[in-house]
Amino acid sequence: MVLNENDRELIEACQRGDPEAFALLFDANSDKIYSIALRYAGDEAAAMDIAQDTFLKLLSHIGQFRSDAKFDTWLYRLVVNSCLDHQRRKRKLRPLLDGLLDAVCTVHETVLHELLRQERKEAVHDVVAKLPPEQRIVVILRYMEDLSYEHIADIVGCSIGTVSSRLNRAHKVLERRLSHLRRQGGTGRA
Amino acid sequence: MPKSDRDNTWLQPVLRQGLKRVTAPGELWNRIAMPPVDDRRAQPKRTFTWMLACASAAAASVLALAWGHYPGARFDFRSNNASEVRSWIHDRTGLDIPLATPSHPKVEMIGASVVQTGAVEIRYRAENQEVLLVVSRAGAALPEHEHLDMREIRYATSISWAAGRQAYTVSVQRAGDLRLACLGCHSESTI
Repeated sequence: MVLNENDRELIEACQRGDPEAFALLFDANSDKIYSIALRYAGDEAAAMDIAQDTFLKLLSHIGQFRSDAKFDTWLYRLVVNSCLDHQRRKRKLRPLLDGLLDAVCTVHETVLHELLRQERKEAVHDVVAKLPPEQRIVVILRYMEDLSYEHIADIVGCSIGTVSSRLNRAHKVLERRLSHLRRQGGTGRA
Repeated sequence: MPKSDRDNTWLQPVLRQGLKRVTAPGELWNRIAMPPVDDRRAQPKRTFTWMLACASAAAASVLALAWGHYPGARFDFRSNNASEVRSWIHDRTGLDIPLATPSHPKVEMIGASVVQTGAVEIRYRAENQEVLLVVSRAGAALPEHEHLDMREIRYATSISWAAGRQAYTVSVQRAGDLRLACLGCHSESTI
């Protein structure tokens, strides 16, 4: 059987509780889900939590999935919601030193790498991980998953104009912070 | 082409290259399913139970709420034993943090997490003052213990230095307690 996240038979087998079908579904989607979680959260431990949460939700709610809907859109929504839930939980669970770790890591890097006078190329994923959550998720869906504005709007639950606006704001930040990676003759895609 | 795409022709391939998918760790499956233990097979057959998976989801939610009462409670490794924390960090990152073992009586170790590639976060209390210690690798060019940089970050004070090819930043909420924070690694007579 050719694996495809929209494969109706595979989804229906999962809905019947077929463990092998779920294993196939996991294999087909685990890299995608984990990658989105990793680029959103910026660290592997949090990405594992988010990905685990997503697949457990999939297990719990696959019975509610309507066969006339697109499975991949439904799955994208699950991981996006898991990412946003993680963001909210992280804020609530660190009231005393809220944000301090990010600030300390920034200082840590700033002080010591300035001392070394080494030019650090900031990895794309580090810059993306620091975007505001609503911009971060649309950047990941656009550039990792190559989704259209319409599809992103459907997943995130906003208008196409809002997707465009969030990407526009994110691009301005990314252009500034990644300007050292600019190469001549880079081409865009329609 | 949407306006936000038109003006960023150099940025798009950079982002696509930088945001490529990665392979999910094998441990992810283990956290979701319960494969049978079978040492004879190279690839254990995957089986799971629906009830266990749903119970895991419920337990994870309860744990997340239960941990919420303790500030900074989400750690990769929780222990009040400095020796265990030190071993865990070394096993995970290769960093050797000279935490005082046994801990000074005024120090209560809380836990540690790997926070970025090559960096680790350690939290402990020094006489009821929460301390955050961040350690990562540093280049050989950094002077040993000679350079200390002290900064005020929001409502906390931090101090950074390098030693033994490792970079350290310790932060506390009030500048007056920085010396207490040093008890995580140093004896009282040396601070």
